[in-house]
Amino acid sequence: MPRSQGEIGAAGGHQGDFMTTEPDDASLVRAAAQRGIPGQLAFETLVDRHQLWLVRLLTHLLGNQSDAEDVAQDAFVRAFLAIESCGDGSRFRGWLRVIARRLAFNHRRDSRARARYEEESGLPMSLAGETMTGQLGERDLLKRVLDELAYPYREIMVLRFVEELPLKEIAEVLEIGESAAKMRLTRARAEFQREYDKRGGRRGDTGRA
Amino acid sequence: MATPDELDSDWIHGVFEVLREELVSLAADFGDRVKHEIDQVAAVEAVRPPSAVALLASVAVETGNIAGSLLTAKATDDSHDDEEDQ
Repeated sequence: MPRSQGEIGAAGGHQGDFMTTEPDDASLVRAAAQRGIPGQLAFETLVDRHQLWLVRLLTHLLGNQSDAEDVAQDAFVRAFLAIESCGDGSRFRGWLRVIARRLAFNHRRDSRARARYEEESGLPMSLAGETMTGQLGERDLLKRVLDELAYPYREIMVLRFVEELPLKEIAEVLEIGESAAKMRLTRARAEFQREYDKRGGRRGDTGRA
Repeated sequence: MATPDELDSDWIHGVFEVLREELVSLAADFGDRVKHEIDQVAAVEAVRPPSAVALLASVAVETGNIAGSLLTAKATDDSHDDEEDQ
């Protein structure tokens, strides 16, 4: 299973050490902004580093990996075109997340206008080769509940509980104020709780240690 | 109801653990597709590099400024003419 393990991008932009063999995000962004072949190669390193978490985030936002990969590709291309506006390259991950979130929002809106295809995506992630274990049951239930949420609620739940972003960063990604983000999160939690309970979700068994 | 500050310890965080731990297998050609797309975009940029774009933009701005100043000057002249006529 190539490139499926670990969070490649998690450390991106925080090394800040010129003695490391791998250049940090800030260095790569600066190089990419210079354009030319070296710039392109620098950006391709950023793609390698950030593709996994980005596709995972978009899969949770959009409900299926195929769409997530399309949107991720678009996000990378747009980021490449606008790399000069990234500013502090050490925040490339956050900057890319904002681009991707906008694209996902638009993609979702356009897709819904065409068809309600979400109904067929009860198991949005690739489940090939997996058995019906208890864990799969919990995951299936969780994804179905997410599917039932209004998109802004789904979005903020994913950012908070899957991406584990603090409220401040969530507000930045959603391009809203922190108090608005807090209010939306509170409402999303309440809606999630209603749907989860309605479908017989168990709280205690999955509680965090 | 818990405030967002208290979320780290609540049950919903525990429920989502199954998604946080989920592994994603990218399509085998995903990275290649992205790089191919970037390559195509870069090829177009090579024909019209950022410096040329910046140059064209600055020329456009200057042209606009010149046109604006000429129009202003003409309007001023006209008003002087009007004053002289009176």
